[in-house]
Amino acid sequence: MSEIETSGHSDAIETVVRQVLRDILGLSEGQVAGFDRDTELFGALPELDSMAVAGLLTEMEDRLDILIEDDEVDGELFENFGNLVDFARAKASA
Amino acid sequence: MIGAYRFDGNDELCLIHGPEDGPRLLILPPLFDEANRVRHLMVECARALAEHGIASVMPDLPGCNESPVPLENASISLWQAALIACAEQLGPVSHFASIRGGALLDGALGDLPRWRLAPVKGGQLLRTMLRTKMAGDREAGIASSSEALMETARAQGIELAGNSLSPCMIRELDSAAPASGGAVRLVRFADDPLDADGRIAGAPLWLRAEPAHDPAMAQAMAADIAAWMRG
Repeated sequence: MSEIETSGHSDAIETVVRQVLRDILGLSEGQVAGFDRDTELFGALPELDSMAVAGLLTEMEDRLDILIEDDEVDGELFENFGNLVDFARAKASA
Repeated sequence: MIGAYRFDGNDELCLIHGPEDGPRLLILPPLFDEANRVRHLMVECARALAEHGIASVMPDLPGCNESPVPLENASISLWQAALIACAEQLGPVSHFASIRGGALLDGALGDLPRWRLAPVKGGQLLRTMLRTKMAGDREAGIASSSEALMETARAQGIELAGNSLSPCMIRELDSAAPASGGAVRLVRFADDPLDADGRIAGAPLWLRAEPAHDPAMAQAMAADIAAWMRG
């Protein structure tokens, strides 16, 4: 796979993760567009409780056509936006 | 108008909108928590449909909303039986419209034409509820897995995210998928990459951590349903 294709693919996955966060948390397009790798998620966004996390995982599975195992979900995954996107990329390319 | 239908010895409430005579649209909300998050949207959609001259009935399913029956008595097949009773008493029903898990029930009356917004499989709903349960267990210092929880659930039922689910409900929900028969109009949001027959502007309010309402989306749903029903 060429470098260009790789980055194009990655951007698509990052977009999906942004859209899922937007839909679950009821944020605006502008708000999620402002997320960068260091944007803190769990603990920093009051709407992101354990119920929202459950919905978020299922939506990511559905929209990225991946399967997330129980033991892959830990606190680190939701620490910041970068971790969540890296995880989604790794799952989608597996 | 608030109406009622008789099922299994109880009165189940329903919302009736639009002209009193003629065939009705049966509106099926999503299932479980998702229904609460879009209640406002569904009611506004039914009102908007009435303004288009379309009669509708939106029943409470046994165990849901104002129903006197505990949820642990409910199952997919019981809900479908309730819809048959509802249609017999308050119909005739000519069309179905559903959001999300509502599509798992729209085969109850055979192959009637059906409108579906973002239909979902039962297994997906179950998975989200299992995850909520596991997150709660983790916070309480209990190690749990979806396999172990499902094993318990299939044998003796389980409470997931505040929902008491019987073994029968677990089995039926786990394998439930929207029925393929009948004329289906599949509708999704404009930015949804999946195939659809129609697109509307809006957002999946059923996912929202904090409930919200979108009046424009209710109008867009009603306009799409009305155009589809008139062919």
